[in-house]
Amino acid sequence: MTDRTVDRFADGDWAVAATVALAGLGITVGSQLLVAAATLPLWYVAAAVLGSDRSTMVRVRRRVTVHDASSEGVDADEGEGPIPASPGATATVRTTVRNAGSETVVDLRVVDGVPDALPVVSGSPRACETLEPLETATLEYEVELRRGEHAFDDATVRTRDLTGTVAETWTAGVEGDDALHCSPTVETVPPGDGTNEYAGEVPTDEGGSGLEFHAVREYEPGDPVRAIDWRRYAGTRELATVEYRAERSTRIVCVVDARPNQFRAATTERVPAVERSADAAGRAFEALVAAGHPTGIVGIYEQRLTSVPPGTGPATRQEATALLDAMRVPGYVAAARSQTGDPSAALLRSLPGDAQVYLFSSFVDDDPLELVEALRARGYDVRVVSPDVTADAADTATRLTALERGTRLARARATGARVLDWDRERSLGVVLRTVVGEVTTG
Amino acid sequence: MSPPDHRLPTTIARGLVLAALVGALALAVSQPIVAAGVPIGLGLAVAVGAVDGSDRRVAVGAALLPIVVLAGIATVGLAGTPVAGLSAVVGATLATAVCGVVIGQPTPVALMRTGGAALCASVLAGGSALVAIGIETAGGTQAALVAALWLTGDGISGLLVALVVAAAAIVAVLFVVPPAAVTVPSRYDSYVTSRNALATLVTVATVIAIGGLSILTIGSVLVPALEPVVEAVTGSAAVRGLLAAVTGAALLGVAMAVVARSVWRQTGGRRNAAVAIVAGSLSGVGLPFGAAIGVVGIGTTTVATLFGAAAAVLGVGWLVAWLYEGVVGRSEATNPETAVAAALAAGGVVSGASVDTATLGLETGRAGVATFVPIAAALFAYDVGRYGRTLAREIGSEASRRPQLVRLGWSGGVAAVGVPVGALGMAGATVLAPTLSVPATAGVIVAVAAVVGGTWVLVR
Repeated sequence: MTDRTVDRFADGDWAVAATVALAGLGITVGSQLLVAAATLPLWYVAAAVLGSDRSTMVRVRRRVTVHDASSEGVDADEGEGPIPASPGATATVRTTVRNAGSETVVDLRVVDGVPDALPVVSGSPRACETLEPLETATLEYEVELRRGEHAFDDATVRTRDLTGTVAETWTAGVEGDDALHCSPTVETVPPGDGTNEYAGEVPTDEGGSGLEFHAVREYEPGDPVRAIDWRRYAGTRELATVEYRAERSTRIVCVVDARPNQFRAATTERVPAVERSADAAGRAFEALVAAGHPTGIVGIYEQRLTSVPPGTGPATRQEATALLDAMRVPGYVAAARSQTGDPSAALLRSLPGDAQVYLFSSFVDDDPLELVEALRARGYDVRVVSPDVTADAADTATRLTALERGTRLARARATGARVLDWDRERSLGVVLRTVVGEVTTG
Repeated sequence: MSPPDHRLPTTIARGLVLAALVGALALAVSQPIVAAGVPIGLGLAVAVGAVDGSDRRVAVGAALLPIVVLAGIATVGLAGTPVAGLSAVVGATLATAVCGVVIGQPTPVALMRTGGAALCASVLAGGSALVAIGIETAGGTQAALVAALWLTGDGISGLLVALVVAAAAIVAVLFVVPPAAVTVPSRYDSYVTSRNALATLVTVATVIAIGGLSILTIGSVLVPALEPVVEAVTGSAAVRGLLAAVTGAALLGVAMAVVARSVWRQTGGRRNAAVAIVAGSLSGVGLPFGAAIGVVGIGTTTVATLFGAAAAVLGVGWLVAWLYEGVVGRSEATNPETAVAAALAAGGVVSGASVDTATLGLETGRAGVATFVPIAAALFAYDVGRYGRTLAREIGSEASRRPQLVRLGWSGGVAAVGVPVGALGMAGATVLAPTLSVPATAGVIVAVAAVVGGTWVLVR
């Protein structure tokens, strides 16, 4: 239990203001009723006076149960270090809060310290309860497990007295399980060149520390002993160093073309390009985040660009979903981070240097092609998913548009971008496996 | 503790609804017209909620909006006194705010569409007011109808002009209606063929009719027996009525098609609700107008005033919706619970201000109830609403019921204690009157405040 903070809210201020306002109104209009009614808010001022600071004692205990395919519903031994689990599995967390004091806590708020990297998939790590002495309340929620070691933080506890004017906040130490260790079974292969110099989860073609074998080279002084190929040494008496694929970090930005011409569809009965693009981008985003890649969303409008920076946390997911939903509504721009002016120029300015770009656009005009060319010229790894809104057209104008679109996609391919022409008949799942799978599974 | 939710917890929301109900009932004790304002507020909330959905719901919402506004203006107009009118407005505001507490803030899309519907209905209501003035000038509905039928003139020349105008209107509507409204791109060529054939048919039929009428007219000069036939055709109200109806319907179609074309060109969107808004507004203004003029038989001056006022209110509504959309988009909108508290307090103030001198009588008692209870309910709503907002921000809307009930009970208790004490104090003041005048009562309030303040300082 650390750093207790007691906040006393000036809860009577608003009531004093109401009293003055009512009394003033009553005197102004000459109404005795209003002047008498001015006493009503004073009772709230008097009630606020009763607020007191009473130290509260609570005990918090956490129990984690991992639901793995191989070990369904296994409870870990408490206090035996991090609980082993596989990425993708879920874990049920039961955090019990007990009022260890002798007085009733009328308003006890608890927020469990869930690791940032583990998304809560059901239940809630937050609760507000009224607890009698020695009474307990349980928070139960499930988290989806990601690769790495994840430590739970202490729980944040806040109590309020009956009047609501005094709040005490502190972090309470949690007994029981406090960490999870998730090791992958079989994992990723390189997505491309779009990585930076920092360590991460994406293997590259460089040698270094990692999991996957890369090459054997001549021993150099200073190489770690554990990297020496001892079998070769035993056979030839020559020292050699084993190198693994260096794992680097990468960030992915899904760019969705949401300009007015993307609201075009082959017929009025079919879904317009922007809906298909937003749908595909949303599912790609989920798949990439689930694989542990920080992913962001960018929406390109006529003279505006809105963006959600790459991340993997719940806040990024929430913002990305809101942005993608907003793109489906014509003329509505989400209240996300936005920049006005030429959207392509703004994108090139704001794009992280190590990012891979996934562009979702129907390519019914030249702007997306120019964007691809600009991105490739700057060395970005670009993948294009282009929903085809010109297929099966009967009229001449749409057939011409289809020809122009095909030329644009060919030119985009020529720049080195991976381009996928998404026919209406082809399922979104297959498309995403083709494109996103290159990042997650190779 | 990061913000996980924006909705109020359910138990707190129910407490707010209860407070609003109690406050509204207390207001109705003094001003029963508050009850008439409540359905208007509910209708407004339903209209705003409906436009955030499918095209059918948008049309229903757009139709409901002008009807609700017309009903509101009629209610306020029939209230008689300014206090009664204000009470009706308070009732409507309270009901709308309560709906906001229950179903949440309107979305920016709903506000955008509501603004569009208000603007469209405002224009139509303004046009309706002008039509009503025209009917008044013409000398009544029947006279106006007759004038409209014979607008192109008497005799064969007038008939020929009416025929040409009707044909031109039909051809115009055929070409102005956007092809996307009636066909799909794959059938565009066949649509163009059909449309051109129809236009040619109308033109040929018109030419044949004009030719036939001309021959008949010339023939009647030579053959006197044909004169009654010509007179029957040229003087027939049925023929003129048919032509006027066709012309009116076609012009209406042209107007709607022009609106649809302009809006579709601006956005190119698939989910554009412009047509649904226009169709809904048209029925929402047209049906009440027709009913008022033709069925109910309200005076045209009254109808013109009513629809003129509705045009102004709807115009202001468009402005408010537009501004509010920006406020909601920036997450700076006033919370619904604060709106409930403000409406209740306004109702209490209006009731309290309507009584000049308090006496020990039934009238003062009713005014006292209508003043003290809504103001106490407003204080309760504000206090509990703040608590609920904090709880939703820190924990979420699915918070446990028990602490919420504790808070509702505490805040309700504080509010409930104040009402009888205030009422008793008021009764005492009336017994001592005129010794305890308004300034003297104010002095008592200051004294009480000083005692409370002193206690607070001592406790701290």
